[in-house]
Amino acid sequence: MEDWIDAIKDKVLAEQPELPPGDWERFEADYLAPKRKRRVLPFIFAVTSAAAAVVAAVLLINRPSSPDPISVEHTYVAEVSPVDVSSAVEAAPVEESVPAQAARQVFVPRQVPDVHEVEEASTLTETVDEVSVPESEPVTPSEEPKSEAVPESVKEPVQVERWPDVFEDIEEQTASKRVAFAPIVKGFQGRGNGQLNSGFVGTPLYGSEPSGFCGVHELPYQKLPDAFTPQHAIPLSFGLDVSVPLLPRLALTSGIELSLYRSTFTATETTGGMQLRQRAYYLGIPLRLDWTLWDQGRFSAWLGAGGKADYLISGKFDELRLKDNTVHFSAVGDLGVQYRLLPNVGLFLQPEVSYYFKPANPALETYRTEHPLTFSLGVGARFAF
Amino acid sequence: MRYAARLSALCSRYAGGPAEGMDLMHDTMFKVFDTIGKYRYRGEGSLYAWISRMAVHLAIDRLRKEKKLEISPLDDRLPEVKAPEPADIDRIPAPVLNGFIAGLPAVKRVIFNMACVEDLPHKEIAEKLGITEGASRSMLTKAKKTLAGMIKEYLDKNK
Repeated sequence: MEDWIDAIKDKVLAEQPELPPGDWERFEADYLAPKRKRRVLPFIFAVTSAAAAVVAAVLLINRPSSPDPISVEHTYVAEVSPVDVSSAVEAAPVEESVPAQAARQVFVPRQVPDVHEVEEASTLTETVDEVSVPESEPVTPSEEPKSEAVPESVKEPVQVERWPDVFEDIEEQTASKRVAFAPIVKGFQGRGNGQLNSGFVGTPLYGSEPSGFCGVHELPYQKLPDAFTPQHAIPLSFGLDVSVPLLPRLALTSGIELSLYRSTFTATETTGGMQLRQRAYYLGIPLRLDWTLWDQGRFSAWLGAGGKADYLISGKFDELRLKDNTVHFSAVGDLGVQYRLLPNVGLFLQPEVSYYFKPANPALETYRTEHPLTFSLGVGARFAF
Repeated sequence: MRYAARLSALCSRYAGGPAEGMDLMHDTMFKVFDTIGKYRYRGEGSLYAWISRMAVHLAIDRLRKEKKLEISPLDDRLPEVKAPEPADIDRIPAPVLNGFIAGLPAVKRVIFNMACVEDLPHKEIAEKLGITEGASRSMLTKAKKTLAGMIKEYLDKNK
């Protein structure tokens, strides 16, 4: 080995630099301190609790002060069926082989009919005669003429005239006065003049000064060449919305939304052309008001406006874990169109426009920091109950 | 505490600066305290050897995670610099020399430390870094050239 290298070795090995004052004590304190737990789960718990509290509060506020159509219908069943059916069985010379249960089913709808049953029921005539006995019940051939002989006193309590009103109310309830859950998937398209700092990798992630979000232990803050070109993939979101009616046409919608932002940072030729990938998962809580514009038949449309708060729950820049304690806010407007497949199930399309309020110093760059104004298309199913 | 100063100097040389060195030293000490049960006494100096080996492994792991161990072909065009004399080295304070080593690019820094300060053979260096022996030798030559350039510049300024 060269002499000058030996001289360097001897000199550096002989050097014993003094530790900074208090360094050992600081290390002891760090080591003895309880290990810091990740705060993701408490955050998820907190936001879920908050969302549940909002929904519960709205449900309580929205509790009807007078009996709603459903309860009216229930009252109708309770009052009419036992008395009239028994009297009908006694009064009419119905054969003994017809069970009283079957006769009861002729007059009394036991469950709240759905929309399709409503349409069929509205064609019922004024008399009970045309209401058929369910096929599953044993009916003797002599029953049909006997049913014609049911006296008027038996028919009267069955307020068939009320049925259309009741069903109209129920239909309205089906259309707009139900709490609904809606899983939704969204794809985005960005617009706007957001300025992307092409050299940001050299500043927030690897800046010479700790930026506070990567943590001292994750990164040494050594400078990387700042000639990185970012490419942001279109974000994807998956969410679950809960919609609670406030007024016949107005609903409050909230829920949770998980968004994935993917980016690739490519170094220029001078730095070897290496590529670093970033994946950031944000959990969002939307809150908006939806106004039903149109509701006819199986189709309905609504217009909504509100906001959303997002929080980074997990993120990686290459192998490094990202941290960002900032809550990100955005304003959201949407126009939704729904096709009701079943009384309780609808499929909807929901074009949405959102504006992201970019922080002055974003901790990490994503698609939305480059495109603050984004258009997205949501597709989902809505389950009403 | 007995080895703290030596360990601090080693960490500083491997990590690339005093601040990064202290960070590496803290991580090393965390690891030492967590795994002290695995240490077996093998004579005087074996504890420091165990701790320093752990520090070097941690330093290499960090650099690998940060993709700093990739070899860049751009280093090929280094100017030829005349090697300094041992007497020249004596004129340079030790902290300055440590600073020069810490200022070397990551791969060169690690290889120089392993080969020249700790006298590890190129075969072992190549295994630890996941490179070929030839690459290790080549990078060591480049590290020496870079270091010689730094020393020459310093000496020219401080005549």
